[in-house]
Amino acid sequence: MTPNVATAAVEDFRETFAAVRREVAKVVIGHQAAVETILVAFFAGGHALIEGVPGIGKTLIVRSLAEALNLSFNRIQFTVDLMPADITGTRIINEGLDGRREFVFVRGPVFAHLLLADEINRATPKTQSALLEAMAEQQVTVAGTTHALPSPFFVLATLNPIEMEGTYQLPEAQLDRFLFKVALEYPSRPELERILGDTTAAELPTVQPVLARDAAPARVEELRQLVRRVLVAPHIERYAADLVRLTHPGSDGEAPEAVSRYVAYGASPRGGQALILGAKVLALLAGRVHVAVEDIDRVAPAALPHRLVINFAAEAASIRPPEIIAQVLAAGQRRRG
Amino acid sequence: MPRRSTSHPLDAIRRQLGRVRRRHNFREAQRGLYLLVAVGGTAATVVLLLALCGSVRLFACGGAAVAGLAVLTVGLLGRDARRRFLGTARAAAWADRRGNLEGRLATLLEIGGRDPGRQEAFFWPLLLDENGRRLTLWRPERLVPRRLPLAPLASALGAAAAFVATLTLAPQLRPAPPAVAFLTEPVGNLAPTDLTPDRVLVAPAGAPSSGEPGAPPAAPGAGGGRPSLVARLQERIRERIWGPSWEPPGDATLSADTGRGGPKGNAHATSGADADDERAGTVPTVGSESRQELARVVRAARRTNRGNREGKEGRGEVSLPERGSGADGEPEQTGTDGAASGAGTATAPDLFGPPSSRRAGESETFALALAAPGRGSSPMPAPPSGEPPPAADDERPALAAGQRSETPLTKMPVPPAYESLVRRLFAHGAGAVSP
Repeated sequence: MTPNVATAAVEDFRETFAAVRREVAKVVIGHQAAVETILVAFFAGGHALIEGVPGIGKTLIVRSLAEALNLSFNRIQFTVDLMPADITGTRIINEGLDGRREFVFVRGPVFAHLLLADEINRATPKTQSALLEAMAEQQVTVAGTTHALPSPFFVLATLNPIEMEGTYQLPEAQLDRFLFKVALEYPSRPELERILGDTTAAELPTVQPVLARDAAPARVEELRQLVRRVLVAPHIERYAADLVRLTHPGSDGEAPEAVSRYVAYGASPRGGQALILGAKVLALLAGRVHVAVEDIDRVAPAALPHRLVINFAAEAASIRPPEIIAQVLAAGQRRRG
Repeated sequence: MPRRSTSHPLDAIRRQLGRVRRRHNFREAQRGLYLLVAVGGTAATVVLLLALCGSVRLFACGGAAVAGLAVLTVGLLGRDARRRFLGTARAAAWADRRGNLEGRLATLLEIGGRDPGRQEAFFWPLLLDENGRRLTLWRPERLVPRRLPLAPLASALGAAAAFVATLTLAPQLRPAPPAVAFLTEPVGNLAPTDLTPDRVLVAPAGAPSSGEPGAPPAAPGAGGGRPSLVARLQERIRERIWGPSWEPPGDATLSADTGRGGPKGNAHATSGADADDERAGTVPTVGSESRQELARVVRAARRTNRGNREGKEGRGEVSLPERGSGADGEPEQTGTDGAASGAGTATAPDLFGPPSSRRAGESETFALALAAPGRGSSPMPAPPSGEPPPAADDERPALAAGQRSETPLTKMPVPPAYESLVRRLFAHGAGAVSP
């Protein structure tokens, strides 16, 4: 492979990423950092969890992303009476032309390239866990038959931080399966003014597809493979491993004080994988073919906080995981010297 | 990507990194050396100044503080040098950071250390190419711009210059010569018979205190004990700088030392060179402007005396007390206890107390003997004289209650007719009868 080919591949990735972001930005006003994080998770091959109050554009982000990438999109509104079969699909009796009846599998909404699991914490744990296999293994099993999900498969789940009555907190195992967790804040005043102007006008902005319809899945897979080829030096792997270990309260006295006091369980190895994969995307976006320490530092606030299980002392002291991760990063940088 | 096809650019990068590392480490070694010289020079200068201008206590405390600070600083310098030293493993990351290469160099060398695998083969040539194009960004001359660390070098030169300047100017720090009072008449209430008639009393020009520059070194605990090691060290330094003829002001034994040879002529004659000077009419009087001249004359006489004594030692004629501690050519000191060994016949041998082996300049105070005719502000009381009164007889203590008197029994004659009865009556043992 000549350097020119690699350079062209890097430039292609950057242009595609920028084009998608540009198209999404046509309809999603503000939230640039959140949109970029979601795109990084998408190209890294992971899933994203969005936390935000209702009405700030969570669904719009996913829908416009699907339109820009020209991929199939489904949405599931999670409710307390939602059943697993409502997600994965079910078998029904179908009578053929010859009069014979047979069970036929009807695919559920999970069979899409982009899946929006809206307010995922309102469904029962049984239904939530129906997503586990789909997210981790990109397949579902119904009545003993395994069905592969389309590739690429990207789950974007949302959490509503208010109205917690009647909700079911996501189990840690399921939280760990999301590559990033993104917090959507209220738009600023200029952004809100622009939202009001654009969305109430006669002509609404539309998203133009960046990728061709038929070639889109393959293109996305190609870009994902390119991401995985980004070079990672051993010292970067050591640094990522150090960060993960620093989130463990009992890591031989290495953990910062905030971790020792407020964390019950630290990040799993999936956290380290998320750091490296996200950093690879950021490296390509910076025009580099190797991961730098700065990429890891940029990814960590999205990749690690939702993997920490904080204790009661943290709740009492109103210490949130992002603050703990900030201390972990500072400790990691000190260790690097 | 097979390593063979990329070995040449990678080797060039490694060679350049080696040059960067050597240049940096050489510079750091110089830096450490210069800083060590700076620390040593500064410490030596301070210690020298303390030795010349400070009291023993100040010299001891200051010297200990300076030594502690110097050791601490050297330790910190060593730790800093170790941290700055570039090993092979750290060199790539250091050059990467200094050259603003965004991790390219470190990644290349780390992955190049092992054979790039298939997954890394796609981007490896590009990374190698990028590093090759950026070689000029981290040339040794660019990352380590100066071979000489100027600031440490300047500090080392400054410290060395300060030390040399201190050595050069040290003779000027020598304290003023002592004021000399020449008395021919007894002072105070001392009876003429209690005084040795002729004295040259050397007293300090001012009122010397232990902390005053030029004051005689004062050993902690004062007075009687052996001088401490610190005091001897300070005295040794002063002698090295100011020469062996240096005498601390207030050394009143100069006159006694110069008195060897006894009075010459009448009762007002001084001894040795002083006497000659006096006969020549050159001896200054109290309050004259020639006190310094008198001190010089006294010291000259003392040196003459020392030479005579050394000549005697060479001939084996000197007694043990005379030998004192003037070994290895050191001038024999005549401090608080040098009177006996250096006294001439014109001065009472016990004028300044009993002789001892102590040397001048080693004690912190000098106790002037009571019989010395000094210029005191108030007359000194006369010492007791004459025979002591006879001691009173011992008195027996009173007896305790019930204790028998120790009055002895008086023998009385017994008539022969009663002798047998009395013997039986007072006999001990079984034959005794009860009266």
